[in-house]
Amino acid sequence: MLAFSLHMAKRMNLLVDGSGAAVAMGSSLARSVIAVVAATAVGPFVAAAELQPAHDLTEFVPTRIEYDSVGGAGEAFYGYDGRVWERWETDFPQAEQNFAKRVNQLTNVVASRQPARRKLTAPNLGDSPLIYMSDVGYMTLSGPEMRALRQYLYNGGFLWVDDFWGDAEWASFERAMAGVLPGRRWRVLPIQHPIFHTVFDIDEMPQIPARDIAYRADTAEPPWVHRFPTGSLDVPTIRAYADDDGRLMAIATHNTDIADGWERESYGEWYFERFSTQSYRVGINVIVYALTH
Amino acid sequence: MFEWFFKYPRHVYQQGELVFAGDLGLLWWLVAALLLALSVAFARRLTGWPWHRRAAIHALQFAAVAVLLAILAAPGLQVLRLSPGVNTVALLVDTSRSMALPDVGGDTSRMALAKGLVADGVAGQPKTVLYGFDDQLRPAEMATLEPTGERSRVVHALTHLAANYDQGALAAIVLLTDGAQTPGDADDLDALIAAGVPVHAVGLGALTIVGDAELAEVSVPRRPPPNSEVTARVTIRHAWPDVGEVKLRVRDGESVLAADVVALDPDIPVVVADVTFASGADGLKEVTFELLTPEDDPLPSNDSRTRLLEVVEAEHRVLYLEGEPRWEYKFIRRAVEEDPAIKLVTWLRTTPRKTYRQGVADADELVGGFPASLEGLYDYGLVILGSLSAGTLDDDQHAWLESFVSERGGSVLVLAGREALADGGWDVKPLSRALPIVLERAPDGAPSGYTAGEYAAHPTPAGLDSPLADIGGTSDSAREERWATLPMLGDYQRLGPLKAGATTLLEAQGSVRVVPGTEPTVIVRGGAAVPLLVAQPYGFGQAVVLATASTWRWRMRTAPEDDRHGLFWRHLIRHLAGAAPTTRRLSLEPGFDALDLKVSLKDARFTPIADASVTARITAPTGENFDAVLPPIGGDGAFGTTVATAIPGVYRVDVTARASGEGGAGTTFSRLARVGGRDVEAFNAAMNAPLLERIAAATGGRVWTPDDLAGLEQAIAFGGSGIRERERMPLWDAPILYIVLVLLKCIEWSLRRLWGGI
Repeated sequence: MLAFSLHMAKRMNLLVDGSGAAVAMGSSLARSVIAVVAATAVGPFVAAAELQPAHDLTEFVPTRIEYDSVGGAGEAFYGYDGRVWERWETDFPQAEQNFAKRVNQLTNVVASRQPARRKLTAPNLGDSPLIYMSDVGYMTLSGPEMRALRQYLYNGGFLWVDDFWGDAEWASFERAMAGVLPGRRWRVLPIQHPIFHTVFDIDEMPQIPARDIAYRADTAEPPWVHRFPTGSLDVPTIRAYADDDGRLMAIATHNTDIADGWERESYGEWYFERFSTQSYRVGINVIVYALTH
Repeated sequence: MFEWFFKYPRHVYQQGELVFAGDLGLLWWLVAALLLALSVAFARRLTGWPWHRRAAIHALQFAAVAVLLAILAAPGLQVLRLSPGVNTVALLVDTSRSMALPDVGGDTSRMALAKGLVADGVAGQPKTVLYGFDDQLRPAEMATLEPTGERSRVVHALTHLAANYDQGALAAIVLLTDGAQTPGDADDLDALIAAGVPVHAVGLGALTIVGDAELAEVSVPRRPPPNSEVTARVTIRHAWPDVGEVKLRVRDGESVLAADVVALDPDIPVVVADVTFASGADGLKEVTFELLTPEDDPLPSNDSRTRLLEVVEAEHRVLYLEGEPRWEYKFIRRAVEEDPAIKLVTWLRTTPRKTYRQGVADADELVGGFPASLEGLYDYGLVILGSLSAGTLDDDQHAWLESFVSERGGSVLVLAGREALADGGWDVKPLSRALPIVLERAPDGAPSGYTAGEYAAHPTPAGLDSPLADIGGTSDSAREERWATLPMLGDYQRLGPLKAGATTLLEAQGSVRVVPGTEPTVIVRGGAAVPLLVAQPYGFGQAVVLATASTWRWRMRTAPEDDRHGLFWRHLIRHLAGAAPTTRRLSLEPGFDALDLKVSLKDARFTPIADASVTARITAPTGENFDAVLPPIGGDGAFGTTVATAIPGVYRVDVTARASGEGGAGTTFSRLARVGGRDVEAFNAAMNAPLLERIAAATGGRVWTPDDLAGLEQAIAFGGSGIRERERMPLWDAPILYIVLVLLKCIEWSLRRLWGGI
């Protein structure tokens, strides 16, 4: 069954590679259109993650969280750019590598160009006081993961969740997080919140779409590429959990894909100027907020 | 035993000089010649023996002859002995309350025993004079000797008596005491030694009071902020025969603030424990610390102590300059936010052109990145320097930082970082003079002194006792355990040699795991320790270097309820910032029946104000008050006086200071002090043998026990300092001479039997 699944995944990836139209549809769109049945292929990633070495604690190390997702092809995983992607690894590691490069250029933060990846239950999760999760619309958390994340956040760790769209994906994510911090409510941050002003003054939350639809005037991704029902996809927000002292513990950049603006900065000069600059402004503000509060 | 063999006590030999009758006489020479002749004749009988046997026999014979000749020579000791009937011996009896305690065995009090010894003529001298002492020395009679004194000043009484006795020749002082010296007595024996009077101390009471547990010391912050946690460190001295537990309780009046249980082990006679309680609302509090000991506690009056707390809203202003957004910055801020008394103002360079300020009072504070004036900098008590290049500041600002420590008395804490210490160019700046380490810049091309790598932080003995490295723990072992179980740190900045005044409080210890992808970095080899947290006083202030910036790991890699990271930073910052003096300072030094007032006045630049009028209103425990003028003392803005305080209790002192030319009513500041009113005699009540030994050894006397005073009379007679006369004491009949003679002949006879010579 495993061999069959991998075989099917490879075949489908080849189809994507050979189809310029599919590539042009962008990551979110493509991952919904192209699906494979290869759920069992995630095993090797788990083992690799547990062997991940400790990183240099003198640097800011972008850390991507590995998590499990529910569903099958187009849900828990998708094919794109010639390979199978799990939801957690969307844009990884190119987005983090580009982001670290720009952070080092633009700020006094010393960022590592070698991003780390961790499971929430990793014993050394605390060595990354900021963790990043992407594409969490189908995410599911186990009991140990919930407990580990709860401890991490209560210790002062900061969670940033990005690239999920619409009402259904939000509801799925909200349900998962309700088990982490029961009784705590998400609130939409107003543009006056300090996180929009730590380094750059941001007066409007940018909406960064998947690369494949970035050429359009409307930056909202189409409803049919996301979990049903999507509701409105037009308004990007930062929603947040705050601790009892008002400090943000977790933020969710919803209806936008900030990291895609980092990953795709070389897509074209027009793309860089329209989307990447805004993505970097948000990203830098968020990490400086996390480093100061 | 010595006296039985040698006829006289040891101290007679120590003082005396060996002499012989002078003219040895014809008989002596005849006997010597006869013995020599017999020896020669006898030697012929041994001609067949090997040489070494003959030598042994001859040696024994010559030794016996020498002893015999010595006896014939009429040996003696030439000594100086007190002239009979001329000298006086002072009997000095301790009349403090501790003398009412039972003596060894518990059948009689120490005072009753002392009186009995005096009545029995303890000194064995015809002329004695009796004195009593507690706080003061006074002539006494047997009937007036009562253990009522509130404290005993042993050294003070002895010195006063020995130096001022003018009623004749004082041969010696016999001191009858438990030696329980109370605070306020002199430690210096120089004046007593100079008087030249030997002190023979008769120690009364047991060395330990079995079953007693004493609250020996309580150390607690005097001015905690309202509604904060106050940690008191208590020292318990005990002589429990078995392992057990004692309850420790803290109360304010009848309200119990905290309670804890402390384990007592007979093998550990002194136990240090921490107890934490809430400071509560503003105001004056007299907090009682007490041990709830069993009913058979032989000395329950030493189970409690009181401490005066002035719970006031204090503000410790701290300036933190950081050149690099990093996790250490975030977690220091979070730790400090828990303490309302710490006002942390931070200035962070986020980009080469942008900064981020937090904790500022208004939009103008630190808008230029550094206080705009010296007075502005002096408004803080502590400056923390993070990974900030020295080039960020101009020359004036560097000079201000140095004077902030040396002149203002502020504290500086330097953290590790890429741009910290010598790596940041601070080695050529004035502040380097204040730091406890020599800053050594790495040669061109050499790797940075700031590197990654894992190791454990370990407290030194000084660190275990210092508030600068306090992460909680109710005992030394508990504190060590709390340090040992902290997560490892992850970075280290190489420090140069320590300066002479530096104290290492924490060390980096343990092996270092190599971080993959980086150059192998070994900070500590084979477990040897290197300094991690180092402090030294400089000028009026102090400077501290912490060679890491990864203490945030103590927060992120422990359970949320584990507050060791927060405790470390709050204690460190609060202590450093709180140690900085204010411009107006009032210190009160309570005596036994007096209160010393000292006021220090400085302006905003911490320049002493010499020309000022300073008055104090002193409110007694009864509520009555009186005023006192504090004149200048010694310049430098210091003013002071001493006021009498006849009634024991808590005194309130309100000082009003007005500088010359200053309008208005001036500045008023207040403090409280407790004067007297404590049963100090109940503490340290066991016999203080070390003090008595020290006094006796320094003055040429001895320490005696009440049941073995046989040699005291002769010790005084031969070691006194009064009027003395020379005396020759014969030794020809000392038993040791005859015992040796017989022994020599017995050995000779035995050898000859063995070797066949008889």
